Amino acid sequence: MKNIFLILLLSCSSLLFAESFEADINIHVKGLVCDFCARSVEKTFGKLDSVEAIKINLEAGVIHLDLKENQELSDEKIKKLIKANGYSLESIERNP
Amino acid sequence: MIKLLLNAFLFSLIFICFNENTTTSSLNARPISYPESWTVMQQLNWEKINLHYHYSPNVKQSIGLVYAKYDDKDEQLYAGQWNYLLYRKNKKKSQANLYSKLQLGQLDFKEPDASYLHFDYQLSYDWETRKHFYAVSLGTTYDGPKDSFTQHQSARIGIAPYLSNYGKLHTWLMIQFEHHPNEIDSDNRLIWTPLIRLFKGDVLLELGVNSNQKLLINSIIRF
Repeated sequence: MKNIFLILLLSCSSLLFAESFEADINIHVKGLVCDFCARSVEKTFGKLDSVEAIKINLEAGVIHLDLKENQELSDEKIKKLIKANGYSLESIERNP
Repeated sequence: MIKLLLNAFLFSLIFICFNENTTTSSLNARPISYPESWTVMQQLNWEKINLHYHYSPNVKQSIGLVYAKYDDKDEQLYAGQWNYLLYRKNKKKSQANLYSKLQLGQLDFKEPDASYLHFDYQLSYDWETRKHFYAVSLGTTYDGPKDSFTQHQSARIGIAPYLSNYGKLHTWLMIQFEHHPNEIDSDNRLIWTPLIRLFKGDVLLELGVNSNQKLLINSIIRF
């Protein structure tokens, strides 16, 4: 019974975490149509020290980035990385 | 652990390919990977088993090695291959690519014991959305001096029966057409192959049976 309760608790917390992903930066990209494309940008942004977490929405063509505390990532750097991966940058939104 | 399982899967597939008395040719999917990455591409078709191991230093090109064993002729190919992205058009819901693929190597025959220069050049165009896929490829091959130049063309149409997000299993239902006008066997001049493409993360697997009841097994692993 205790184990079942723990599993339920963990499942709920992971769901809550998934729902509570609040991106610091939303990058709207053109050409992001398949898993290979998404994998490419995930690997590139995942290498950056400033990035805490990445979430990719293929349907919307958006890369959500969560930055580490007191870290920054410039628009220029984002633009350069998107281009280096073969995609086109549409816009960058920053959440306050 | 996952990488180990993937490698085991790939080598099992290669083992099956070498032991199945089947043969073909097909349209490579995504011949260039993301920057600074390695890719293993395996193809089994009516004609050959083909292994292509390549490195992409950037998004514009990949360079690699190719080994192919032609099933019915006892021929083996050792070649280098250079793929170059000539053109890409990114749109919000689609991507189009034009690739140049150059292959240069040596074709070895057992009976009679001889080696010939092998050259193959292909232009491939693809356009895809999350739901639809179209591709066409035009190529010419030189296996001198015996066969000199031969031409080959292929095309693919695909549809995704459902849409899934990144990291989930993606499924495509496709049909591939191949035209080999210089083939001696008339059954192999025009071939069509219905196939299923399964795609998840860094792994892609294609399974099909062609119009001559020959098996098609393609796989791609990126790392």
